[in-house]
Amino acid sequence: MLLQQFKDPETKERAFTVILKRYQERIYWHIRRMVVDHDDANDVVQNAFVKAWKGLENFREDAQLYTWLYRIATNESLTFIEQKKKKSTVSLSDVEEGLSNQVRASENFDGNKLEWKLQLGIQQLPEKQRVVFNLRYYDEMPYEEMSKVLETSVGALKASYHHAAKKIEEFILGN
Amino acid sequence: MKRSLHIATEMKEISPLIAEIPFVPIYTIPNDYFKELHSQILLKVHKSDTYHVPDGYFDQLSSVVLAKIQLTEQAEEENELASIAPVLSAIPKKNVYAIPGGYFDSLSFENKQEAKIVSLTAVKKSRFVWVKYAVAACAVGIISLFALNFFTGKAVAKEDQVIAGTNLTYKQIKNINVDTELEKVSAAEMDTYLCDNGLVACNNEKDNTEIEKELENLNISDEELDALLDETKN
Repeated sequence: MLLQQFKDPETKERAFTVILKRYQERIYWHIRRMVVDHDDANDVVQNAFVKAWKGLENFREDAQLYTWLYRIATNESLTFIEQKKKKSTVSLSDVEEGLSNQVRASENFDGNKLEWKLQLGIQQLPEKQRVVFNLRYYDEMPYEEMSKVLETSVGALKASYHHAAKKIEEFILGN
Repeated sequence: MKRSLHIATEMKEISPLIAEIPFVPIYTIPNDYFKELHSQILLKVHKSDTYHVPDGYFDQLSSVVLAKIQLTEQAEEENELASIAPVLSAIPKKNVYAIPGGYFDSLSFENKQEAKIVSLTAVKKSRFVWVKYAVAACAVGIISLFALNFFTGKAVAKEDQVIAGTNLTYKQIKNINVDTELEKVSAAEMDTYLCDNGLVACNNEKDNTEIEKELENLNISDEELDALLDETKN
Protein backbone atom coordinates (compact mmCIF):
# COMPACT_ATOMS: atom_id res chain seq x y z
CA MET A 1 0.00 0.00 0.00
CA LEU A 2 2.75 2.44 1.06
CA LEU A 3 4.86 1.39 -1.88
CA GLN A 4 2.00 1.97 -4.32
CA GLN A 5 1.46 5.40 -2.84
CA PHE A 6 5.17 6.09 -3.20
CA LYS A 7 5.03 5.23 -6.90
CA ASP A 8 2.23 7.74 -7.42
CA PRO A 9 3.77 11.26 -7.79
CA GLU A 10 0.77 12.77 -6.03
CA THR A 11 1.24 10.76 -2.85
CA LYS A 12 4.95 9.97 -3.09
CA GLU A 13 6.21 12.40 -0.43
CA ARG A 14 3.39 11.64 1.96
CA ALA A 15 4.11 7.91 1.70
CA PHE A 16 7.81 8.47 2.28
CA THR A 17 7.09 10.61 5.36
CA VAL A 18 5.09 7.71 6.80
CA ILE A 19 8.00 5.35 6.14
CA LEU A 20 10.44 7.80 7.75
CA LYS A 21 8.38 8.21 10.90
CA ARG A 22 7.92 4.47 11.16
CA TYR A 23 11.55 3.42 10.79
CA GLN A 24 13.76 6.45 11.52
CA GLU A 25 14.40 5.69 15.20
CA ARG A 26 15.30 2.05 14.67
CA ILE A 27 17.54 2.89 11.75
CA TYR A 28 19.15 5.77 13.63
CA TRP A 29 20.02 3.62 16.65
CA HIS A 30 21.40 0.86 14.46
CA ILE A 31 23.69 3.39 12.82
CA ARG A 32 24.54 5.14 16.08
CA ARG A 33 25.79 1.91 17.67
CA MET A 34 28.02 1.45 14.63
CA VAL A 35 29.51 4.93 14.30
CA VAL A 36 29.05 6.00 17.98
CA ASP A 37 29.07 9.75 17.40
CA HIS A 38 25.67 11.45 17.05
CA ASP A 39 26.69 13.88 14.30
CA ASP A 40 28.20 11.07 12.27
CA ALA A 41 25.08 8.98 12.85
CA ASN A 42 22.90 11.90 11.78
CA ASP A 43 24.81 12.24 8.50
CA VAL A 44 24.71 8.53 7.84
CA VAL A 45 21.00 8.15 8.61
CA GLN A 46 20.15 11.01 6.27
CA ASN A 47 22.28 9.54 3.49
CA ALA A 48 20.67 6.15 4.05
CA PHE A 49 17.16 7.53 3.66
CA VAL A 50 18.13 9.56 0.59
CA LYS A 51 19.29 6.32 -0.96
CA ALA A 52 16.04 4.69 0.07
CA TRP A 53 14.09 7.50 -1.62
CA LYS A 54 16.01 6.96 -4.87
CA GLY A 55 15.79 3.17 -4.78
CA LEU A 56 12.28 2.68 -3.50
CA GLU A 57 10.82 2.87 -7.03
CA ASN A 58 12.65 -0.33 -7.92
CA PHE A 59 12.15 -2.03 -4.56
CA ARG A 60 10.97 -5.60 -4.98
CA GLU A 61 7.94 -6.20 -2.84
CA ASP A 62 8.93 -9.79 -2.17
CA ALA A 63 11.35 -8.46 0.47
CA GLN A 64 10.31 -6.70 3.66
CA LEU A 65 10.77 -2.96 3.62
CA TYR A 66 12.42 -2.80 7.01
CA THR A 67 15.05 -5.44 6.19
CA TRP A 68 15.80 -3.51 2.99
CA LEU A 69 16.20 -0.29 5.01
CA TYR A 70 18.46 -2.07 7.50
CA ARG A 71 20.61 -3.29 4.65
CA ILE A 72 21.01 0.22 3.28
CA ALA A 73 21.78 1.56 6.77
CA THR A 74 24.34 -1.18 7.45
CA ASN A 75 26.09 -0.60 4.13
CA GLU A 76 26.12 3.15 4.68
CA SER A 77 27.57 2.71 8.17
CA LEU A 78 30.31 0.36 6.97
CA THR A 79 31.10 2.69 4.05
CA PHE A 80 31.34 5.61 6.45
CA ILE A 81 33.74 3.72 8.74
CA GLU A 82 35.78 2.61 5.73
CA GLN A 83 36.09 6.17 4.47
CA LYS A 84 37.10 7.30 7.94
CA LYS A 85 39.86 4.70 7.91
CA LYS A 86 41.10 5.88 4.52
CA LYS A 87 41.12 9.51 5.57
CA SER A 88 42.97 8.63 8.74
CA THR A 89 46.70 7.98 8.47
CA VAL A 90 46.64 5.84 11.59
CA SER A 91 46.34 2.06 11.62
CA LEU A 92 43.14 -0.01 11.79
CA SER A 93 43.55 -0.70 15.49
CA ASP A 94 43.87 3.03 16.08
CA VAL A 95 40.57 3.62 14.27
CA GLU A 96 38.90 1.06 16.51
CA GLU A 97 40.54 2.74 19.43
CA GLY A 98 39.09 5.98 18.07
CA LEU A 99 35.59 4.51 18.30
CA SER A 100 36.29 3.44 21.88
CA ASN A 101 37.52 6.93 22.61
CA GLN A 102 34.29 8.29 21.22
CA VAL A 103 32.43 6.01 23.59
CA ARG A 104 34.52 7.32 26.46
CA ALA A 105 33.86 10.88 25.30
CA SER A 106 30.14 10.29 25.39
CA GLU A 107 27.96 12.19 27.78
CA ASN A 108 27.42 10.40 31.11
CA PHE A 109 30.23 7.95 30.37
CA ASP A 110 31.18 5.91 33.42
CA GLY A 111 33.89 3.37 32.87
CA ASN A 112 32.96 1.48 35.99
CA LYS A 113 29.50 0.67 34.84
CA LEU A 114 28.97 -2.60 33.00
CA GLU A 115 26.73 -1.04 30.34
CA TRP A 116 29.62 1.23 29.28
CA LYS A 117 32.08 -1.64 29.43
CA LEU A 118 29.71 -3.52 27.20
CA GLN A 119 29.85 -0.67 24.66
CA LEU A 120 33.63 -0.59 24.78
CA GLY A 121 33.66 -4.36 24.32
CA ILE A 122 31.42 -4.07 21.27
CA GLN A 123 33.82 -1.56 19.67
CA GLN A 124 36.63 -4.12 19.92
CA LEU A 125 34.78 -6.49 17.60
CA PRO A 126 35.47 -6.73 13.87
CA GLU A 127 32.95 -4.68 11.88
CA LYS A 128 30.79 -7.54 10.54
CA GLN A 129 30.67 -9.23 13.92
CA ARG A 130 29.69 -5.91 15.50
CA VAL A 131 26.79 -5.60 13.05
CA VAL A 132 25.62 -9.14 13.86
CA PHE A 133 25.80 -8.53 17.61
CA ASN A 134 23.94 -5.21 17.43
CA LEU A 135 21.20 -6.53 15.12
CA ARG A 136 20.58 -9.51 17.38
CA TYR A 137 21.15 -8.07 20.86
CA TYR A 138 19.71 -4.57 20.47
CA ASP A 139 17.39 -4.75 17.45
CA GLU A 140 16.31 -8.28 18.38
CA MET A 141 16.13 -9.22 14.75
CA PRO A 142 15.31 -12.86 13.90
CA TYR A 143 18.22 -14.73 12.29
CA GLU A 144 16.19 -15.25 9.12
CA GLU A 145 15.78 -11.49 8.71
CA MET A 146 19.43 -10.90 9.56
CA SER A 147 20.28 -13.38 6.85
CA LYS A 148 18.46 -11.19 4.31
CA VAL A 149 20.12 -8.00 5.59
CA LEU A 150 23.65 -9.37 5.62
CA GLU A 151 23.24 -12.02 2.91
CA THR A 152 24.80 -14.61 5.20
CA SER A 153 23.51 -18.03 6.24
CA VAL A 154 21.62 -18.38 9.51
CA GLY A 155 24.18 -20.87 10.81
CA ALA A 156 27.05 -18.49 10.15
CA LEU A 157 25.14 -15.68 11.88
CA LYS A 158 24.50 -17.80 14.97
CA ALA A 159 28.15 -18.74 15.17
CA SER A 160 29.20 -15.14 14.67
CA TYR A 161 26.86 -13.93 17.42
CA HIS A 162 28.18 -16.58 19.80
CA HIS A 163 31.80 -15.62 19.10
CA ALA A 164 31.01 -11.92 19.49
CA ALA A 165 29.36 -12.43 22.88
CA LYS A 166 32.32 -14.50 24.08
CA LYS A 167 34.82 -11.85 22.97
CA ILE A 168 32.86 -9.10 24.72
CA GLU A 169 32.69 -11.22 27.86
CA GLU A 170 36.45 -11.68 27.79
CA PHE A 171 36.90 -7.95 27.30
CA ILE A 172 34.68 -7.10 30.25
CA LEU A 173 36.38 -9.66 32.47
CA GLY A 174 39.77 -8.35 31.40
CA ASN A 175 38.89 -4.73 32.14
CA MET B 1 13.78 -0.19 26.74
CA LYS B 2 12.38 -3.65 27.09
CA ARG B 3 14.33 -6.72 26.28
CA SER B 4 12.73 -9.66 24.55
CA LEU B 5 12.65 -12.72 26.76
CA HIS B 6 13.81 -14.88 23.90
CA ILE B 7 16.90 -12.75 23.30
CA ALA B 8 17.66 -12.54 27.02
CA THR B 9 17.42 -16.30 27.41
CA GLU B 10 19.65 -16.85 24.43
CA MET B 11 22.28 -14.47 25.84
CA LYS B 12 22.07 -16.17 29.24
CA GLU B 13 23.04 -19.42 27.57
CA ILE B 14 25.96 -17.84 25.74
CA SER B 15 27.19 -15.37 28.34
CA PRO B 16 25.45 -14.98 31.70
CA LEU B 17 27.67 -11.99 32.40
CA ILE B 18 26.37 -9.96 29.44
CA ALA B 19 22.84 -11.11 30.12
CA GLU B 20 23.06 -9.50 33.57
CA ILE B 21 24.07 -6.09 32.22
CA PRO B 22 21.21 -3.56 32.53
CA PHE B 23 19.49 -2.98 29.20
CA VAL B 24 19.34 0.80 29.34
CA PRO B 25 19.96 3.51 26.75
CA ILE B 26 23.35 5.06 27.31
CA TYR B 27 23.82 7.24 24.25
CA THR B 28 22.12 10.60 24.36
CA ILE B 29 20.48 12.48 21.50
CA PRO B 30 19.37 16.10 21.21
CA ASN B 31 15.90 16.89 22.45
CA ASP B 32 13.12 16.37 19.94
CA TYR B 33 15.67 14.96 17.55
CA PHE B 34 13.29 12.39 16.07
CA LYS B 35 10.51 14.95 15.73
CA GLU B 36 12.68 16.89 13.30
CA LEU B 37 14.65 14.05 11.72
CA HIS B 38 12.12 13.21 9.02
CA SER B 39 11.93 16.93 8.03
CA GLN B 40 15.73 17.09 7.77
CA ILE B 41 15.78 13.94 5.68
CA LEU B 42 13.05 15.23 3.36
CA LEU B 43 15.01 18.47 2.94
CA LYS B 44 18.08 16.47 1.97
CA VAL B 45 16.05 14.31 -0.36
CA HIS B 46 14.79 17.41 -2.19
CA LYS B 47 18.32 18.80 -2.37
CA SER B 48 19.48 15.56 -3.94
CA ASP B 49 16.68 15.91 -6.50
CA THR B 50 17.94 19.29 -7.77
CA TYR B 51 18.56 17.84 -11.20
CA HIS B 52 15.28 16.31 -12.14
CA VAL B 53 14.68 14.20 -15.23
CA PRO B 54 11.21 13.54 -16.69
CA ASP B 55 9.51 10.28 -15.82
CA GLY B 56 10.59 7.43 -18.10
CA TYR B 57 13.43 9.53 -19.53
CA PHE B 58 16.03 6.79 -19.30
CA ASP B 59 13.62 4.19 -20.70
CA GLN B 60 13.33 6.17 -23.92
CA LEU B 61 16.88 7.57 -24.04
CA SER B 62 18.38 4.73 -26.09
CA SER B 63 15.67 4.88 -28.78
CA VAL B 64 15.92 8.68 -28.96
CA VAL B 65 19.70 8.50 -29.44
CA LEU B 66 19.38 5.80 -32.13
CA ALA B 67 16.75 7.85 -33.99
CA LYS B 68 19.05 10.86 -33.94
CA ILE B 69 21.95 8.78 -35.28
CA GLN B 70 19.75 7.53 -38.15
CA LEU B 71 18.67 11.08 -38.98
CA THR B 72 22.29 12.25 -39.05
CA GLU B 73 23.35 9.38 -41.33
CA GLN B 74 20.39 10.02 -43.66
CA ALA B 75 21.25 13.72 -43.87
CA GLU B 76 24.87 12.85 -44.72
CA GLU B 77 23.73 10.54 -47.54
CA GLU B 78 21.43 13.21 -48.96
CA ASN B 79 24.19 15.83 -48.85
CA GLU B 80 26.58 13.47 -50.63
CA LEU B 81 24.07 12.79 -53.43
CA ALA B 82 23.23 16.49 -53.72
CA SER B 83 26.89 17.33 -54.22
CA ILE B 84 27.38 14.60 -56.85
CA ALA B 85 24.08 14.74 -58.72
CA PRO B 86 21.68 17.52 -57.67
CA VAL B 87 19.02 16.36 -60.13
CA LEU B 88 18.96 12.86 -58.65
CA SER B 89 18.75 14.15 -55.10
CA ALA B 90 15.69 16.22 -56.05
CA ILE B 91 13.83 13.10 -57.20
CA PRO B 92 11.78 11.60 -54.37
CA LYS B 93 12.82 8.09 -53.35
CA LYS B 94 9.68 6.17 -54.20
CA ASN B 95 9.29 2.59 -55.31
CA VAL B 96 7.78 2.73 -58.77
CA TYR B 97 7.46 -1.02 -59.23
CA ALA B 98 4.21 -2.75 -58.34
CA ILE B 99 3.76 -6.31 -57.15
CA PRO B 100 0.63 -8.47 -57.09
CA GLY B 101 -1.53 -8.06 -54.00
CA GLY B 102 -0.55 -10.37 -51.15
CA TYR B 103 2.61 -11.45 -52.97
CA PHE B 104 4.80 -11.56 -49.92
CA ASP B 105 2.10 -13.35 -47.91
CA SER B 106 1.98 -16.15 -50.44
CA LEU B 107 5.74 -16.25 -50.90
CA SER B 108 7.04 -19.51 -49.62
CA PHE B 109 10.59 -20.63 -49.39
CA GLU B 110 9.66 -24.18 -48.57
CA ASN B 111 11.72 -26.52 -50.70
CA LYS B 112 9.71 -29.64 -51.32
CA GLN B 113 12.20 -31.27 -53.66
CA GLU B 114 15.01 -33.11 -52.15
CA ALA B 115 18.34 -31.64 -52.99
CA LYS B 116 20.25 -33.63 -55.60
CA ILE B 117 23.24 -35.24 -54.06
CA VAL B 118 26.24 -35.11 -56.34
CA SER B 119 28.87 -37.66 -55.57
CA LEU B 120 32.37 -36.39 -55.31
CA THR B 121 33.50 -39.41 -57.40
CA ALA B 122 31.15 -38.69 -60.33
CA VAL B 123 33.44 -40.30 -62.99
CA LYS B 124 33.93 -44.00 -62.63
CA LYS B 125 37.56 -44.86 -62.26
CA SER B 126 37.47 -48.03 -64.43
CA ARG B 127 36.28 -46.15 -67.55
CA PHE B 128 39.43 -44.07 -67.99
CA VAL B 129 42.02 -46.27 -66.39
CA TRP B 130 43.63 -47.09 -69.78
CA VAL B 131 44.18 -43.39 -70.51
CA LYS B 132 46.29 -43.12 -67.43
CA TYR B 133 48.49 -46.05 -68.49
CA ALA B 134 48.74 -44.83 -72.13
CA VAL B 135 49.92 -41.41 -71.05
CA ALA B 136 52.44 -42.99 -68.74
CA ALA B 137 53.74 -45.28 -71.53
CA CYS B 138 54.13 -42.35 -73.95
CA ALA B 139 56.01 -40.37 -71.39
CA VAL B 140 58.35 -43.28 -70.67
CA GLY B 141 58.95 -43.83 -74.43
CA ILE B 142 59.77 -40.19 -75.12
CA ILE B 143 62.11 -39.99 -72.19
CA SER B 144 63.84 -43.28 -73.18
CA LEU B 145 64.43 -42.18 -76.77
CA PHE B 146 65.80 -38.88 -75.70
CA ALA B 147 68.08 -40.53 -73.19
CA LEU B 148 69.30 -43.14 -75.69
CA ASN B 149 70.06 -40.52 -78.31
CA PHE B 150 71.76 -38.30 -75.78
CA PHE B 151 73.94 -40.93 -74.09
CA THR B 152 75.05 -43.02 -77.13
CA GLY B 153 76.29 -39.94 -79.07
CA LYS B 154 75.52 -41.71 -82.39
CA ALA B 155 73.56 -38.87 -83.75
CA VAL B 156 74.79 -38.38 -87.39
CA ALA B 157 75.35 -34.92 -88.59
CA LYS B 158 73.43 -34.11 -91.74
CA GLU B 159 76.57 -33.05 -93.64
CA ASP B 160 78.06 -36.55 -93.31
CA GLN B 161 75.01 -38.28 -94.81
CA VAL B 162 75.52 -39.92 -98.25
CA ILE B 163 73.19 -38.62 -100.91
CA ALA B 164 71.03 -41.33 -102.33
CA GLY B 165 72.12 -42.49 -105.81
CA THR B 166 75.66 -41.18 -105.40
CA ASN B 167 78.77 -42.10 -103.48
CA LEU B 168 79.18 -38.52 -102.26
CA THR B 169 78.21 -36.81 -99.03
CA TYR B 170 76.69 -33.34 -98.71
CA LYS B 171 80.04 -32.10 -97.46
CA GLN B 172 81.95 -33.46 -100.50
CA ILE B 173 79.46 -31.92 -102.93
CA LYS B 174 79.69 -28.59 -101.19
CA ASN B 175 83.49 -28.61 -101.69
CA ILE B 176 83.42 -29.40 -105.47
CA ASN B 177 84.80 -26.67 -107.76
CA VAL B 178 82.38 -26.86 -110.71
CA ASP B 179 84.60 -25.05 -113.28
CA THR B 180 87.60 -27.30 -112.59
CA GLU B 181 85.53 -30.43 -112.82
CA LEU B 182 83.89 -29.29 -116.09
CA GLU B 183 87.26 -28.77 -117.73
CA LYS B 184 88.08 -32.38 -116.97
CA VAL B 185 85.02 -33.55 -118.93
CA SER B 186 85.41 -34.00 -122.74
CA ALA B 187 82.91 -32.57 -125.24
CA ALA B 188 81.81 -36.02 -126.32
CA GLU B 189 81.12 -37.04 -122.71
CA MET B 190 79.20 -33.83 -122.25
CA ASP B 191 77.05 -34.46 -125.38
CA THR B 192 76.34 -37.96 -124.27
CA TYR B 193 75.32 -36.83 -120.77
CA LEU B 194 73.09 -34.11 -122.12
CA CYS B 195 71.55 -36.35 -124.73
CA ASP B 196 71.00 -39.25 -122.28
CA ASN B 197 69.25 -37.03 -119.78
CA GLY B 198 67.08 -35.38 -122.47
CA LEU B 199 68.51 -31.95 -121.78
CA VAL B 200 69.15 -31.22 -125.50
CA ALA B 201 67.80 -32.53 -128.83
CA CYS B 202 69.98 -35.38 -129.91
CA ASN B 203 71.18 -35.79 -133.50
CA ASN B 204 70.86 -39.49 -133.81
CA GLU B 205 72.26 -40.07 -137.19
CA LYS B 206 70.89 -43.13 -138.90
CA ASP B 207 72.22 -44.69 -141.96
CA ASN B 208 70.75 -43.32 -145.18
CA THR B 209 69.93 -46.75 -146.28
CA GLU B 210 67.76 -47.32 -143.24
CA ILE B 211 65.90 -44.10 -143.97
CA GLU B 212 65.37 -44.99 -147.54
CA LYS B 213 63.98 -48.36 -146.51
CA GLU B 214 61.55 -46.72 -144.19
CA LEU B 215 60.44 -44.31 -146.91
CA GLU B 216 59.82 -47.16 -149.29
CA ASN B 217 57.71 -48.84 -146.65
CA LEU B 218 55.66 -45.66 -146.42
CA ASN B 219 54.83 -45.69 -150.19
CA ILE B 220 55.33 -41.91 -150.54
CA SER B 221 56.32 -40.60 -154.00
CA ASP B 222 59.19 -38.19 -154.53
CA GLU B 223 56.82 -35.45 -155.55
CA GLU B 224 54.76 -35.87 -152.37
CA LEU B 225 57.89 -35.86 -150.31
CA ASP B 226 59.17 -32.69 -151.95
CA ALA B 227 55.83 -31.00 -151.38
CA LEU B 228 55.93 -32.06 -147.71
CA LEU B 229 59.37 -30.63 -147.30
CA ASP B 230 58.29 -27.41 -148.85
CA GLU B 231 55.40 -27.13 -146.37
CA THR B 232 57.68 -27.71 -143.41
CA LYS B 233 60.05 -25.07 -144.71
CA ASN B 234 57.25 -22.52 -144.57
